[in-house]
Amino acid sequence: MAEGEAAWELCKENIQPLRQGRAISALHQALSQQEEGSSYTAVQQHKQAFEAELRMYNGDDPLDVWDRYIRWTQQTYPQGGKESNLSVLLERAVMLFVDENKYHNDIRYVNHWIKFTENCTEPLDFYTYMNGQGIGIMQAAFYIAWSEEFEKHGNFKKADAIYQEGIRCGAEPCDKLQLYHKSFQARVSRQVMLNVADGGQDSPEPAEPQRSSLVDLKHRGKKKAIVPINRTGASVNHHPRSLNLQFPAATPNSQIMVFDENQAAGSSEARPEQWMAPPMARAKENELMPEKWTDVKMPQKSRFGHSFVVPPSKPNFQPYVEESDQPPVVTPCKINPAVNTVLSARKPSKEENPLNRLQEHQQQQQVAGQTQEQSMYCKELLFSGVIEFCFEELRAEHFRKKSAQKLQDKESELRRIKDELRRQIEEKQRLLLERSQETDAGHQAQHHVAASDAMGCLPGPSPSMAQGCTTVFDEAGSSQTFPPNVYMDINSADAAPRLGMIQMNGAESKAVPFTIFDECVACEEPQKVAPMAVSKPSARKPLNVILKSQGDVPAAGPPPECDGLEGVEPLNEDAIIGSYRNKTLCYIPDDTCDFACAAQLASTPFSGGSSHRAYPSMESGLTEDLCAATVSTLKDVPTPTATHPDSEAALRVNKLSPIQEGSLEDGCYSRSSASSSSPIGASCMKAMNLSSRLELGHSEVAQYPEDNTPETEMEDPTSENVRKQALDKINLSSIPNFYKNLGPLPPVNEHDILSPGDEAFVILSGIRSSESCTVHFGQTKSGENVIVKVDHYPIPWDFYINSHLRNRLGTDSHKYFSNQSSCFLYEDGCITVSWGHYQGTLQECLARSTLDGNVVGLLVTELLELVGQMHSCHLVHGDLCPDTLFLKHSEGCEGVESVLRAVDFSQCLDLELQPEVTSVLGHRGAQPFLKQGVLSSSSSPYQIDLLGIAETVHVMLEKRSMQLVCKDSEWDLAEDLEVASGNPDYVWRSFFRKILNPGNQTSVSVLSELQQHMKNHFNYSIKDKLGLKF
Amino acid sequence: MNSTEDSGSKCPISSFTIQSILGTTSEGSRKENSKGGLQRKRTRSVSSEECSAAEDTSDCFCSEPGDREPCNRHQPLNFSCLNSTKGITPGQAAIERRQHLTQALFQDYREDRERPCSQMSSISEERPREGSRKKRRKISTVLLVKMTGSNEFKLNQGPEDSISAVKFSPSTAQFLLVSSWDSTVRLFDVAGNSMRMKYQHLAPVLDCAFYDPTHAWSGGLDMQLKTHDLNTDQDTIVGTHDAPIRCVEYCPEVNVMVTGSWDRSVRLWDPRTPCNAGTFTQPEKVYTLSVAGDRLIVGTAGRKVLVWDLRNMGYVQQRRESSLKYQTRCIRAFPNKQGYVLSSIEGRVAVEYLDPSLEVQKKKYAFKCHRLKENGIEQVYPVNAISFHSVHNTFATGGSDGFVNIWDPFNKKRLCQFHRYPTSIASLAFSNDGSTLAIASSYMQEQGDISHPEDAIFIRQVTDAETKPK
Repeated sequence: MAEGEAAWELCKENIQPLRQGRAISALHQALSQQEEGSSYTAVQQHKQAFEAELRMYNGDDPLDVWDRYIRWTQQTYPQGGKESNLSVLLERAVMLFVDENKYHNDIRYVNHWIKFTENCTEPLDFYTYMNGQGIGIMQAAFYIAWSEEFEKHGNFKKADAIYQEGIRCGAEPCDKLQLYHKSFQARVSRQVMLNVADGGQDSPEPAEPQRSSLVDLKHRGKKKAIVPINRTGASVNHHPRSLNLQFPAATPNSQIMVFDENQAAGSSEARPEQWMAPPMARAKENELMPEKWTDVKMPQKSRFGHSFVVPPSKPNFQPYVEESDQPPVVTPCKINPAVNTVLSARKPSKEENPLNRLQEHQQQQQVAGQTQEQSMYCKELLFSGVIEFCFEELRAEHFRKKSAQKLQDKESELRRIKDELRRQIEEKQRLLLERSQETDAGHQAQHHVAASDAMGCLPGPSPSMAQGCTTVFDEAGSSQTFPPNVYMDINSADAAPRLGMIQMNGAESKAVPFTIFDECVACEEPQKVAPMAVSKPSARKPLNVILKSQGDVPAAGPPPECDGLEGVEPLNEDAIIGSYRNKTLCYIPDDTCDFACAAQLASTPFSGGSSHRAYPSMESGLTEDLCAATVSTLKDVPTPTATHPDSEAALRVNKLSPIQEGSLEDGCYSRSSASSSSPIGASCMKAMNLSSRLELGHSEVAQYPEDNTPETEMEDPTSENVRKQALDKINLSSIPNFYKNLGPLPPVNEHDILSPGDEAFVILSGIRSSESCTVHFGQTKSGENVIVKVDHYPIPWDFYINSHLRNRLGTDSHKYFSNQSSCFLYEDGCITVSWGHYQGTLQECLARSTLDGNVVGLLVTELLELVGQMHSCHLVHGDLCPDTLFLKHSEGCEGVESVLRAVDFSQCLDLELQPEVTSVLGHRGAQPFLKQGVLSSSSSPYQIDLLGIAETVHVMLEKRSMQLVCKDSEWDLAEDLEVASGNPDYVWRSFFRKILNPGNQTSVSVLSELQQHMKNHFNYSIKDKLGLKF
Repeated sequence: MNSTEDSGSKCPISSFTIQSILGTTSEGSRKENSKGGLQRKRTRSVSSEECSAAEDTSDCFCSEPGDREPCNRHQPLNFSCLNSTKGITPGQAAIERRQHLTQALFQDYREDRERPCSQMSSISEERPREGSRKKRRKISTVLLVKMTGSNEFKLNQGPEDSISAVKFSPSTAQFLLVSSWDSTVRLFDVAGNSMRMKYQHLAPVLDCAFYDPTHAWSGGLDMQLKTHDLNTDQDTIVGTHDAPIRCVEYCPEVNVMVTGSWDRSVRLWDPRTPCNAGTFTQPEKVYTLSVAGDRLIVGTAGRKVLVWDLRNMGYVQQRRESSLKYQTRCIRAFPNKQGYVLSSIEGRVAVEYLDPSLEVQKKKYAFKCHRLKENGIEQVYPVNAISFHSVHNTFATGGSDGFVNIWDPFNKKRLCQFHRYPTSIASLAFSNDGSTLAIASSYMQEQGDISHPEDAIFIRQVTDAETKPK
């Protein structure tokens, strides 16, 4: 405070006095901001906000915004000056409403006029104008200001007349006007009296001769001018050379002016006079009075007869700028002034007086109908304030307003829901109390009632919540006291949804920017900027939240010594309310789904629940969600699939280059960034898991001990649960050809007709079967070959992969993947049908005959491209072997189409959907390689496919699977190849060396390199060779 | 010719025919088509837009401001030779360029080329026959050259809200970066007419720019400057401004990214690190900026123009005032780095030179454009977009009237005007080789939040005939 006072003491002289005074806080703020002088201060933001409000205002009192704006400006710029723009602001405000009759006697408007007038040099003109227009004629302030102006000019008579006029018109507030009038009269009479007193003492002739200043003296002596010592009287030269200076006579001469009231009143009869002609141009600050501009002269004849031109000199006036008026940061400028005149293209428009402008403005409005030009944009909006706006700014303002509105709506909706819930709880409580009073049953019965009530009052209570309640009741029943672990239990149940809410807030604030300060967003900011430093702060944050909630819940809890039953209810209620307190995403109050999700959060953190919130469009799948949620809670599967929306977003960046101009540099970069991003994702995910575990530890460690080690034992990312959760994020039903059927999976037998939808298929032969799925050949009615895959889990994974391949690859997908697939989802399984002219698997073909080396080469080239395509859209096949690769029926006319097809995606990984999968660990297809050591736990999932290719190629060449040995830290085939054809052995050697040792290269670049390699050696058309085979 | 009757702004560009624009009048004109010469009918007209003297300069594109078809006389020179030879020489070149076009399309295209050349005679022929003045004027004011899909198409998967900026990749005409009010930045594969990728901002994006072919930079209402690696699809927030970021540009000479914001500052960013490399306060909110070699031209509110030297940002090199009377909408520097073109909110464009010497400054001029005359009232539209042809130093302007004009600044002539696009032109971009022009036709809420035609991006193959000074 002392400091602030000092600051204000120091710049007192720079603070313009205000009639109503200044708020000291605003003053301090303004002064401190001036010292800082930052480039874009809060002041400017505030100003911009006012400007926006001026334009956005659609209420019925537009003056209000202007009024606040003006008052704010006065307070914020205590030194006034040009920077404050106050005079412009006042002028705009005054002009804007000059035609609004309703404001003419509004005190705010009149005050603006008075302030505006005070800033001008000829205020009397304005008062006359105002009077003529009828502005402020009912306001005492107007007359006071007007009269004071006259008083300043020494025209007491007029000044008094103005007061009289005001009183006569009945200006409000009347007593104020009269008070001012009286004090004015007192002032005048005192002055008159003083003059009289002075006049009485001082005779016109001074008693002693006095020196007068600034007069010429008579001198004596020709050579040397000597002035006598006595410089009064005769020595004064009485012939001034210049005009006599007329000193304003502040008071009429010594004669006493007798004020004649009646006469004054008579003279005021002439009013109100109409504004006849605009007052003469007068200057504001920094304006030149008319005078000789420069001393440019016409070319003159010199004495010697030459004409010469006097070089024009610059006007020698200095614009007056207050020292304090320097804008905080000046853009420095070093311009040759000669140049400057050229660059300022527009002639300085002639300055005109605001009154002129005002009248012009009015005239323009009258003739507006006859203008020849029409601006095709909202000109008035852009220029209606003091600062101009552009379209984008206006639109941004609309956007902000809209998003703020949305947020508000949501808030009020939530408040309403909360109130309703509270009301319900109270009702239930009351009911419970009544019942407990009237029934004298034992604890056991009450337990049931209470539990069922708890269930009833809350839509879809979570199992753990219910469990929490029951434990409380059990404890109450047995011991009548509350051991601390009960609180803990409820605390954690309470805290978990809260954590979920924080995440949701994060997701929400993404959608609705510049809204409210969100702790979560703030703490996630550094996560984006410097992702390396993430894990710790984000791990710490939720802990804080939890500690707080633990602190307040027991406080709200019942005192342990109170009676068991009464004690239960508040605690119960608190747990319930607590779980709802931060609920932000509830569409319908009766919607039980959210609670189910919250319940799931409470028991298993980061399972599917929170991710549903990130996809609010999935309302159609709500019931599914519910069952999924309950299923997973019942199964109690702790999964490493952190689905925190932000970490998910951060991880989704792993997409591959949309620009295929993969120079080596770019490739390296993309790889490094891709690989760097995934561990980060993993680490932040880990952090989230860790933090969640910290909070939930109390209740969960006991229940799910395996929960502690999900990072070390990677679960198979192709498992049903993982996929189910992954697919829950996707709205599959939006994909065409996806059909949901009620009922169990129909039996699929060979030579049967299967008709899952409108279409019917004949099942021809089984291709392969495993415990989870079977794959059959089929034929449609039109005789087209199809692949029918029957999954024994209701997870349409193949269909999802197929459709996404089509989405991500576009028309490229037709080369290696089926161009049409449909899916029929049943309660306990699904059938995926893929169209295409399939001939058989590669395995069958190999079994039939040995492939020529060249054919193998071509097939390998295709295989490489196939896998490359999948990898480029973040898909890992995971199970490349001759069994899963199909050969296409090559029809005669199709030209150079590919032969290979990939249809079966049982082991496929979608790294875009499953960003948490960062290594091969856990993948079923990778286990043998992991055991051998070819893959390490840190290998990228894409490497599975590289090994799969190697294996397939080896089988094609040698008809047996490959044996690998490690030589000089490189993997190589254990045995030499016995390549049948004349192709040199080294081609395959280098192929295997490359594919088994990809090093640090990305799989896509390895694949394209290999493809090039193969093309160099096998450049025949595939048809020529394969024609023999089929 | 397509005879769809829906006067649709929503109909795809291929069916964007003369009839659909003209509505009922098309009936009459089509009847005449069957009578008279088929293609002669399409009047190439006659915007009310005159290239008349600028306010302070006496220069103009055309000496008769009162003429109703003033610019036509400049126009047909090229086309008439094309007409006389039945499109053999220039047409041939066009065929070679567009071998992928089917014969039918090409036919259509050639008709279009021919049409403008015959308009002078056709108008004079029709005038007595048609009689109805009103009808003729409607034709003349409403539309211009042609509406076919042969050299132009609409991009699929466009943004869901207004488009704020389109920018071509510096290396190829294949990739187009588009920022939008739907908070996304999209990368389009123009050749394949598909969206390659998009990324999100927290709020509408106001501008975007390529740093190199694989990195996009963008900023908007969320005040964040983002760079996006197009290869790895990875976002980095480089920094923030204190207010929304209005413009993002790249200066290859100094290797620096430049952003201008409504917080009255221009900030430089080192694209390699990436980090902030300096903040430079401007006198007003920055509305537009452009880079000419190592100089930076900043247009702010209050009609101020500031020229900075990017190598020495210690002081402002030149502090100018816009030579136009109204708000500055867009500034673009000449590819030859000698000057810049500035457009204002009230249908006017100024050509200015950076060299402050008197004789060079004398050459500057301004002219009116993007004005339509309706019922005797001249409707003045904002000129929102300018893009320079990198080879010929000619430039295209786009206004809220939906027209795109190409100007020859040296001869002070209009080279051509395309057909009227469904709504305001928000942004224009020539590809680096000058072969392609991306036209963002998107309503910018100039006249409030009203219903408007769908926002779209059109890709137009431009020919030398359209862009080369004559």
